[in-house]
Amino acid sequence: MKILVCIKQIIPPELAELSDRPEIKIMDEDPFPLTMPSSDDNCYRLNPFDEYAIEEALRIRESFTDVTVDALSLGPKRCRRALLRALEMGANNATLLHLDRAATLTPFETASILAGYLRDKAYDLILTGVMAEDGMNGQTGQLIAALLDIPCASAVISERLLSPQGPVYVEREEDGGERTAYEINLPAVLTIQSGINRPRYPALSHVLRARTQEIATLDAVTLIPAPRERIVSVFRTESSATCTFISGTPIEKAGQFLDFCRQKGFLAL
Amino acid sequence: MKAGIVVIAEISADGLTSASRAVVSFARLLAEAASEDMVVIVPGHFPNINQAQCPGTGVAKHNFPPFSGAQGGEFAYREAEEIAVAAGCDVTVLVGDHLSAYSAEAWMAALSPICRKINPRFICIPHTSRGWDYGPGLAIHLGASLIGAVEGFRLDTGNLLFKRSFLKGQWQMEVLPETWPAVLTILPEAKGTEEEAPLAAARSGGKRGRPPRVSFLSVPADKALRTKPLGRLPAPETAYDFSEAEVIVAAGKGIGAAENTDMIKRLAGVFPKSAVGCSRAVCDLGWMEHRRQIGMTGRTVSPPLYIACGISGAMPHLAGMRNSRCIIAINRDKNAAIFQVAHLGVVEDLLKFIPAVLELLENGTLMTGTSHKGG
Repeated sequence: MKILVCIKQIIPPELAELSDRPEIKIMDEDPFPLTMPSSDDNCYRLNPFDEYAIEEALRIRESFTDVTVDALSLGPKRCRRALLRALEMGANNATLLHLDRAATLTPFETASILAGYLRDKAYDLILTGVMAEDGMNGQTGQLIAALLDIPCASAVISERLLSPQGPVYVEREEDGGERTAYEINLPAVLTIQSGINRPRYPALSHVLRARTQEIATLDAVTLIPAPRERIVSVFRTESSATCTFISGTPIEKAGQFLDFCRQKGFLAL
Repeated sequence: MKAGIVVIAEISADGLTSASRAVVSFARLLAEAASEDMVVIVPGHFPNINQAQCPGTGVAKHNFPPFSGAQGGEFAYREAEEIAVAAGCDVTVLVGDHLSAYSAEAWMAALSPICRKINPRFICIPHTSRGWDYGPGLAIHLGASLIGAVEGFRLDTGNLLFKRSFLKGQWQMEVLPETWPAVLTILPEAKGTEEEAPLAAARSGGKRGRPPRVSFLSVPADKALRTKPLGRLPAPETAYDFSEAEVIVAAGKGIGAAENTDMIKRLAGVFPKSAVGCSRAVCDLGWMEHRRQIGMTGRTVSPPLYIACGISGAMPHLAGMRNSRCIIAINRDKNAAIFQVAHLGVVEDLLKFIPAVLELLENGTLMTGTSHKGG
C-alpha cells in the first residue's frame, strides 16, 4: 500500500514582513512582497497541521504490512528542511517539487502541480493537513482529489482503514464539533484535522537514517497551469478602530486592567 | 432558468441555517454591484415528495405538500417561498435519494449539472465545514475559479475584488477571479461595499419583472458514488455550558505550557460567575479538555466579558466569541488579529501580566484610572 503525505513549509505569521512596499500595491510578476526579516531558513517551519497528517500515515503503516509513506512538498530548496522532518518522523521517502515562487501560488495552482505529479504514481491514500497556517485556504487537498477524480473528505478527526484495499472509515469534524461518518473507497484524499493524534518526536534511528537519505528533487515549472485567480494586492489588516491599548510596566498595565474591570462593573469597587 | 449569482444554501431543522442566510444577504449586495439576478439552490432529500412529479426543468408548483428534510426536520414549501420573497429571488430545491445525507461527492454530483445549466458568474457558498468540503471540488468540475473565506468585496474600475485574511488574520489580500464562474465561500460576517460612483446597470430586482418562484428539480445520481455517508455521531462528550458565565477567561497557545493553565484559572477565579475556556490549539496540545474549546469547531459564546489570553485571533476562534459584549485581549504580539475585535488591548507577556494582576489584588489596588487624574 502506498501512502502519500503532502506537506508545506510555512512562513510563521508572526515573522512575515512586507519587503519595502508598505502601502497597498498592485502586484506584478515579481515574487510575493511578503518576506522574512532575515535570510535564516530556520525561521520557516513545517505546517503544524501537516504533522498530524504525517503521524496518521505512520500509524496506518504500523497497522498493516507492506506499506510505504512518502512525503511530497512544493517550494524552494529550503523546503527540504520540512521534508527532512517528515523523514525524521519516519517517512520512507521524500520528494521536492522545486519552484522558487511557490509562496505566490493560489491553491488551484499548487493543487494542479501536485496532482500533475501524482497522476501516474498510483497512491492508494493521499493525506494533507486540513490547512496551511500561513495561507489558511484549506482547499488544496480537496482540489487535488477533484483533479485526480478521486473522493475526498476534509477535516478528518478520526480514520480507520478497514483493509489495505479500503474502504476507509472516516469521521469529519463539522462546525460546533459535531461529527459525521463515512466509508470511502480507495484511492482517496483525506485532509487531516488537528487533534486527531499526537505527532511523534523523531526517533534517533530515523534521524540518523534521514541524514544520508536523498530527497528527490524535480523541477515543477512544467506543471504550472494557467491560473484561475490573481492575488492583486496584499496588506496588513488595518488596526482596529475600537481597541484601546493600555501602556506602562506590567504592574501599571495590571492596575489599568483592574480599573477598567471595576468601571465596567465586572469587579467590585 | 438563468441567473448571474447562484447561492447554495444549507438547511437544518429550523430551515435555512444562519450561515446560509448571511450568504443570501451577501449575495444580494453582490447582485446589485454586479447587476445580476440571483437564485438560491437548496439540495436535500424530501421523502414525501414524489420525485416523478418533479419536473426536470423546474417551474413553480403550488400544490406540493409540506415534506421533511433529511437534515432533521421539516422544510415546508412555505419556507422556500419565504426565502424567495425575502431574498427577492427564485429558489430551487434539489431533490434526490442520494442527497439523503451529506457527502461532498453527492453534492458535487447534484450541483454540477444545474450550475452548468444556469451558467452564473458567481456561486456563493457559506464558509461552513461543508461549504469548504465540497466547494473546491465543485469549482474543479465547473472549470471555475475559487476564492475561500471571503470577508468582503469592492468594485474597482469595473472589477470585483474579493478580500480574505491569511497569516492568522494579521494580513489580508484582494483576489480577482480570472475564470468564470467564480466559486466563493463566504464568511458569515462578510461585508460587501460598493464603489462610490453610481452603477449604470439596472438593479437586479427589476430585471426579472415578475414575483420570485420556487421550483423543484429531481436530480438522480447518474453514477455510482464512492462515498457512503454513515450518519451523524453522538457528541463524544457533553459540551461545557458557558451560558451562565458573565466572564469567560480563555487560554490560547500563548500561555506557553500546560502548567500555566493554573494561572488562567486563578485569573478567572477573581471574577464572580466566571468560566475558563480555550482555543483549539490548547486542546490539541492536551493542555485543556476539548469541551472547553471556543471557536468554529467548539462552542460559540457571547458573555458580558471575554478575556483572551495568548490567543492569536485567527478567524476560526473569532467565529466563536466575536459577539461578546466586551473583549479584553492580552497578547505579546501587537499585530495579533485578536486586537481587531478587542475593546481593551494589553500588549504584554502573559506570564508577567497575570501574576501582576493577582498580586495587585492580593496586596490592594492602586487606582490609576483617568477618573482620578488631576489634569
